[in-house]
Amino acid sequence: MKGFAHHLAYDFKAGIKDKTLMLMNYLFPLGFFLLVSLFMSKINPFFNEIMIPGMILFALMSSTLLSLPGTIINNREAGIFRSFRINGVPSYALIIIPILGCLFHTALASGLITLGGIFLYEGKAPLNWGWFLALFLITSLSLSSLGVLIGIVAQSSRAGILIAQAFYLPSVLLGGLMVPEAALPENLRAIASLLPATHGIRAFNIFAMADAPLSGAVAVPLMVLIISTIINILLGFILFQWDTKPARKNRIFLALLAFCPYIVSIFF
Amino acid sequence: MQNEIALEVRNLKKNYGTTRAVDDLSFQVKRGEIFGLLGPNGAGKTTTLECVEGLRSQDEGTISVLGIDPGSHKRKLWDKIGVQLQTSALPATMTSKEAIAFFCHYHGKKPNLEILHRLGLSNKLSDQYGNLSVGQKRRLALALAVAHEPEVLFLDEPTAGLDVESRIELHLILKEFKEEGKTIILATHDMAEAEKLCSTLAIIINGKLAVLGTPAQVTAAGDKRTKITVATAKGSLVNEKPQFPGAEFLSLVQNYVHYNSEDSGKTLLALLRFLEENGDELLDLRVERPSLEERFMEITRERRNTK
Repeated sequence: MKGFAHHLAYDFKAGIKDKTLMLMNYLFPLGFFLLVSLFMSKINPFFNEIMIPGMILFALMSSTLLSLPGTIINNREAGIFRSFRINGVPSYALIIIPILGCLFHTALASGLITLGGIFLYEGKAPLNWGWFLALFLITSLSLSSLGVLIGIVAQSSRAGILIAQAFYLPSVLLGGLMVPEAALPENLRAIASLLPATHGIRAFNIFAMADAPLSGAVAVPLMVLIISTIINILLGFILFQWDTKPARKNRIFLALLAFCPYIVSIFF
Repeated sequence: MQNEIALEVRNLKKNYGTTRAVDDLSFQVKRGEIFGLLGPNGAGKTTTLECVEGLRSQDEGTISVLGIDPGSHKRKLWDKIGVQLQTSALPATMTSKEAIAFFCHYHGKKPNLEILHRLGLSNKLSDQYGNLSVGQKRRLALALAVAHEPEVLFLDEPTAGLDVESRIELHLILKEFKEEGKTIILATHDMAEAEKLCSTLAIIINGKLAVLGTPAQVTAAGDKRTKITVATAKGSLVNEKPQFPGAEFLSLVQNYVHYNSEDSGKTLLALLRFLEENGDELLDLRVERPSLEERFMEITRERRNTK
């Protein structure tokens, strides 16, 4: 347990010491928030309503989808996992610690976005702070577990970037981060349902920003995020490889199971 | 203690698909000795080590390290052994000090920074792994392997890529570890290193044990002929081309005459008598037994020919 705690503390420190991680955890999302909020609040009157959850989702995706998979793939390819293994580092630590480390960094960045959104740009503050914090936690875990899964299954750094971008770019465009989801055509909304960020923003809008009660179909985004987190972590354990090569290609198809909660959500 | 067995491998077999990497390999390593594992590239050294270290599971055979089966008690084993892998790395931003603390905590031990001082990394405690030189990375890898005070050390080509000075320093450190009672299993390509450090050698070729014994035994088992190299002032050996008992003329290179002798004593006596009788003067005389490297090459050639 002492080893795990020490590893977690090291991982958090590495997220600040490493220039790339520092960029993806803090500089890029905070810089994007400061710039985009400045002009979007002037050209899109609805932006202030979704500014805080939208920019938090953007920060979460930057830390988890753009940064986590690359770190995991590089560590595996460089033989760092092998060095860890022979010194008794358990595989669960290499799956859980990046998720928790990401949670800490995104909490700091999201705290700054929330304060900056309210005080600098007059963004709408959450009506239910309890739900706001709970949803931050759930969405962060869902996205970071997806980032870890991509890192585990990607055959190379390049493949990892491509897979991550396949989630990231559509999420920015269709996920409801900057333009309300209601403004999208019906067929694009179905595609948007396949993205974790869409469910994140839906849940934030329903429970944290509108303080709606938890009942019926409104609970779907919440359930999708929780179930996908569980599936991602379980698949991570199954597919994790200590070797410099990733899991065999035929086993990687298992990772497609991670899409199940999103596909099911289209029918609700 | 010397007769206690630290490692026992019996009839080890390991396949990768249809390729047999290790084929019925058996050997024992006594406690407190430095055991050398030699072999050409792809001979099965690293696979053997990885099976013994619990990083790979064998297809057949049994392994016991300090009485522990690596296949079923990995965690227990990894607290008792130290491993320097052939290729390993650490996160680029991790400092030497952090690395020691990181792994010691996982082994349930207090961080032992003394080892960094001992391995000449005192002024590199706060340097990030990505900024260390090749030699410093190798030393740090060794420090990490011994920081939790293991009883058995597995070193896979620990001096590969090191300069001569670093290599000599590392040899001295390994000798110190041996004196402290640690058992060391050393996989290497460097024959001089193996001859200098190891009390027992195993040469593996095509996954099979080709030779096992002390460096002297391994060397003596091969070509028994002694190489004699002579240079004289007047070049009488070149001009007269005399025959000496038990000797065979090999070559003439820049006034140096090379012979192979099956009875070096008789050959040398006859050679010196010849020089005296011809009024010639000895400038240089070298008498060399076949080295471990030559023996290794001989075994490799034999095995290739019989394959």
